[in-house]
Amino acid sequence: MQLEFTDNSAKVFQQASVVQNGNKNSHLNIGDATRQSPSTGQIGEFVAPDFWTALSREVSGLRETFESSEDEYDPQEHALTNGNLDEDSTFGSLLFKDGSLSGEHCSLPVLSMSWRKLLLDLYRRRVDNVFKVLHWPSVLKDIEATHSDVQATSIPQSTQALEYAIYFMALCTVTDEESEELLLGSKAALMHHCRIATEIAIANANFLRTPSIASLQAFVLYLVSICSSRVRSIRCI
Amino acid sequence: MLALAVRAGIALRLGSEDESAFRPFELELRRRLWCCIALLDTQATLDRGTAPMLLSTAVGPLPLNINDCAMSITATPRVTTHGFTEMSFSLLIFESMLIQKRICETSDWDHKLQLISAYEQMMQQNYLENQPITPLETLAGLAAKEIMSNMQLLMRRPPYKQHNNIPPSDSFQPMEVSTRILEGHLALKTPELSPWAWKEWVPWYALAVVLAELCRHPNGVSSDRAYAAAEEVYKRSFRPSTDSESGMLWKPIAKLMRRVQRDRQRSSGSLSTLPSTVPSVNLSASEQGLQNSSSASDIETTFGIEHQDNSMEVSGDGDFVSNGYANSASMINEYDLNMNLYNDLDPANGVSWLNWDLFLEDTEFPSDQT
Repeated sequence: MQLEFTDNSAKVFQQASVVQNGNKNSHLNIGDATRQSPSTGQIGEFVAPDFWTALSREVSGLRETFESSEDEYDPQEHALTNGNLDEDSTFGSLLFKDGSLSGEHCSLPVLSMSWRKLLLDLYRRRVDNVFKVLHWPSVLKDIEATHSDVQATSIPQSTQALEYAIYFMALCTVTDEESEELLLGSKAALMHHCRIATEIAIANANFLRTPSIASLQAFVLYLVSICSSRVRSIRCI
Repeated sequence: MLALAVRAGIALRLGSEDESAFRPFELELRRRLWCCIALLDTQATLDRGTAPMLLSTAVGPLPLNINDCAMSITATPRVTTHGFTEMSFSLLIFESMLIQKRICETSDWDHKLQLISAYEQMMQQNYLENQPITPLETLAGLAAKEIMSNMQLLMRRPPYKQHNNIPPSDSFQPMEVSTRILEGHLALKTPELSPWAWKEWVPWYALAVVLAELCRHPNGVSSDRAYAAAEEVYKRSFRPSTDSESGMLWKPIAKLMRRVQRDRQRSSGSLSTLPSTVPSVNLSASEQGLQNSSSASDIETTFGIEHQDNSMEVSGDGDFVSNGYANSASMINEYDLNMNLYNDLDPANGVSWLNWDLFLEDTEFPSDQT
């Protein structure tokens, strides 16, 4: 799923909704924006149900993958849990549509502590010192605070967006071989799902309507991650 | 999507804020973020040959050269630190970005030369004078050299077709400079720089310039050195792919490589497969197959390039055009539909420019819209 890095692209961020199936497992059905920039705000023309049906299947596949692999992995070492994909999950507004549906936000997969530490360390050692968009100590503190305060009723969405963008960027620095050696599994699969999670998190942070420094940092990291795989980039600077 | 970032940054008044309204800590965060966005904008401009969204005047003050530990919400310095800090590498890139924008914003060739001269002096002083101590400083030194070379090269060989602004001829040697870039790229693969291996990218631009220049000078001491670097980079980087973006890029490069190999074979008096003089590298099985066979033929098979062994056009004084590229000034007129474009170029540079122009046509890069 290669995103075109163009000035007029508006493909990524969309409405997320949670739909229950008959087994009380949640599927993620996400609305869509087309490849063209929304010049008129006529959002109805941007819905592409086929794409998001496929995306929903993939997210469900992620759940099935981890559920079926519990025999092979130590549950504590599992990178992602899906405990938040339940019927009480909320979802975010479509970025290019006026008015939210019901103020709900899409839930995000939760990474295990060991994976979080691994990815944060990778970002710190490989990205932060050559692409200094963050003040690392304060970002790290904010991220750790969201995970340590179990009594917190709400997690800052922009911090969460930044967190997932950092994970996504960290994964971009890992080779396929490293991914296997670090027990991350298939890099391609992990990148794919992390990218989706980042997009959802940025959408949840309401980036387009009320951007903040943190959500814009997250979006910039997301763009850099996407661009890092471009073949044709000249990259003279 | 970059436009979204720019618009969000403008909405947050990045780069144009009232400094008295923010604490120093917040100002630094804002400047780091805005410079990163401006960097992405410049990169997109280079990739696509389109006008930038942000002018150099919109970038605002650069962030300070300070370590994160020196910053806090309550106390952040207002002056920069001397020496190499956690911000130094990024500042190197930000400063380069700013100069690149300024160069693109002026059409005065002498002004461009002045800008780049001042920039090179600054880079030499800040990043190349002292012996590197840490791996990051080593990386910064290598990056500084490569960026300086690329900037000079971009001025003489823009990566998109020029309709009215062909760079004038001067003493700049595109083949020599692009060869250095390729050699620098090959030198990047050292263990101490492995944390940043993800930043490596195929220097296809410098590779294309080298090969286009070798079409005019296939043999000679400097050409042999250039070819060795080009061949090594090509072998390491060439990946037959069905991806349209990759195909559009590598097909014309493969065509150039074939032309150069054939010209070198012809000049050496041998029409047999050119033996590789490059030390072997650790290649995958498929890559070994490609290396061991006639690489030009396999490349053609991969991309469906027609064999042109029997389709050489010979004209005039024995000059020839092979694979669409020229080796003689007498061929310029045939291709230059607008005579004015080449009038200011001496014949040698005219041939070089023609070959580069033909390569750009093959890649179907967007035209210069500035």
